Amino acid sequence: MREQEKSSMNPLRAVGAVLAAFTGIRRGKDSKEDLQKLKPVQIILAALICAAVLIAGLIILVKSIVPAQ
Amino acid sequence: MTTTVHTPDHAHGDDHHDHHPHGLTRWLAATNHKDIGTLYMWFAFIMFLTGGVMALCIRAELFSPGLQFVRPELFNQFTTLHGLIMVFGAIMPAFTGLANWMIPLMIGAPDMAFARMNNWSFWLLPPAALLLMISFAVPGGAAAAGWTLYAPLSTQMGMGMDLTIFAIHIMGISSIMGAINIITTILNMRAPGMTMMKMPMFVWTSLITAYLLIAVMPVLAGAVTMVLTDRHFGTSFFNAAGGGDPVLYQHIFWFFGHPEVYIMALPAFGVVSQVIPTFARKTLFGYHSMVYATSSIAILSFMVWAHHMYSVGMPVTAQLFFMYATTLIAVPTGVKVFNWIATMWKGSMTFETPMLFAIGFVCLFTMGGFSGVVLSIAAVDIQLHDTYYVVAHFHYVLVAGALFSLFAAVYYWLPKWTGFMYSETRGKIHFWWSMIAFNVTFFPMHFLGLAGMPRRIPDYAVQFTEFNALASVGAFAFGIAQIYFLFAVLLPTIRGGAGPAPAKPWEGGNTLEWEVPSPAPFHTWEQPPSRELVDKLAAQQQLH
Repeated sequence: MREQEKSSMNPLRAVGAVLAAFTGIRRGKDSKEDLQKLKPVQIILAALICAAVLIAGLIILVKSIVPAQ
Repeated sequence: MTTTVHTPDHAHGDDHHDHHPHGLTRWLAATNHKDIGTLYMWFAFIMFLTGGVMALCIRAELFSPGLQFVRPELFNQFTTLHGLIMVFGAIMPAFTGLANWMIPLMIGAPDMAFARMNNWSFWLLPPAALLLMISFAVPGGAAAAGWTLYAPLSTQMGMGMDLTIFAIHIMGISSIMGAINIITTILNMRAPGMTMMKMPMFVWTSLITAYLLIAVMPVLAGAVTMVLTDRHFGTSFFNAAGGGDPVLYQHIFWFFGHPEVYIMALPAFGVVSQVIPTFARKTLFGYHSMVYATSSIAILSFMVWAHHMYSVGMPVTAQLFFMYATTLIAVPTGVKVFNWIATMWKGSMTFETPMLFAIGFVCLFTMGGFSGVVLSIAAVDIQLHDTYYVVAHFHYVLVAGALFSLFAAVYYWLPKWTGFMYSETRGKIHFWWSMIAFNVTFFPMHFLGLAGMPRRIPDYAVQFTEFNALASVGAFAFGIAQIYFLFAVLLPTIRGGAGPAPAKPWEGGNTLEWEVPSPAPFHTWEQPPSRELVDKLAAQQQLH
């Protein structure tokens, strides 16, 4: 039953868990639910996607700050 | 994640499991994780003293302006070898030794996964150390390009550089094999019921560190191999005259080098996350966020490398990118500091020596982190690059960070290793002596750096004299404190110390290593701990 729950994709929850991990703020209840509802591979995937988005975001930000040569 | 149930190995037809080889064979052919852990720790300590002597030669020379004791060439060799030995010979092997000793005990495994490879991982280290040491005696002397071995300096020096390159290759192979062992052991040999989210934090940080090692040690090996082929085989990777680029070396080196900082820091975080809850008699605040923050740091550590090279002439866009990314990595690191403080908050704290070193770590590592944030700002770093401010910063991170956490670990687990309690009074003397001497040595270096004193020089302008003299006095005091540790704490404890240690000397300890007798028998957890025991300890740590 729990495996079934875990196998259902829940991308927003995974991203939420990763962002919470980054800032270090997560309600205890949500943290426990993460463990029940998410598989480690989902969290790792979400973390890598978030890192890619962060890199892309930073590149866009610095390109917008630095005037075109 | 599945766990493996271990059955005792009766293949030898011997049910008496506390027998073990004696004499030299015990150590040369060691496959027992405790023996190999002990070898690693002693090797690291000897290298720590060796690198320390070089540091004292540097500080003796810098006590006053002018050239007193060593030629500038030798000074540069000391600077280089001090860094290499402390990083690759002392801190990294010490944490691998800790992991060897403690991970099987903490996860309920009988040994490391690959016992013979474990032996090979360790025995590669002494020849590497020997290569580094004999390089002082070869024509041209030891490598003198700084521990970063930047080209074009490293492509020009004598055969000491070749010996250093081979030493780095060997130590890299050792680290990678050690990391493979740690990962396999943790993923496959945990006791039944010990899920990933019930593992002690030290096990978690060792696991993530091992992944970092496997990711970046080949990068360093590649960089120094390119230096080697540039030196001897006619390539021009880093030679501008041949179409190469010396800045390429810096990029490759620091792509290894920045995760390397976390390779030295994450296990320290793990140790402190074990010690503080024990002596605060509370569970670790935010275990899950600690695990996630450690993972976040590991991922982010790969995208900040060029903050070490702001002054090399990168485009402004790149400088801004690395500046923002570096500032952001302070967030998960800050999470950890807040978690340790929250763990101590309203705890029933006592201040035994391991706790003192752990609190010392939190205070001083935070200062090192703050000076790191200062240096992450490109405009500031261009002023402070290659000054003593940087020297102060990374010694706050690596000495008060990694080394203090190692001392915390040694005092914390010494009763388990030796079966004897250390003298608490002497431990406290060691802590306060180290704490004061450390700050006397390295705090003035912030001022020296802000005033513009460059690093890696044997002579300096007279206006820097007072702070340099103070730092040198502090450095010698710090060195003597470590000799005191060896002769007044470590050796006496091995010989009986303050009396026999109980299985669980710290009432707040609730991880599996405290369930085996002290000293830990030669073989432990041949029968894995019962599921009830694992669940009970996890419940005590509020891990579900």
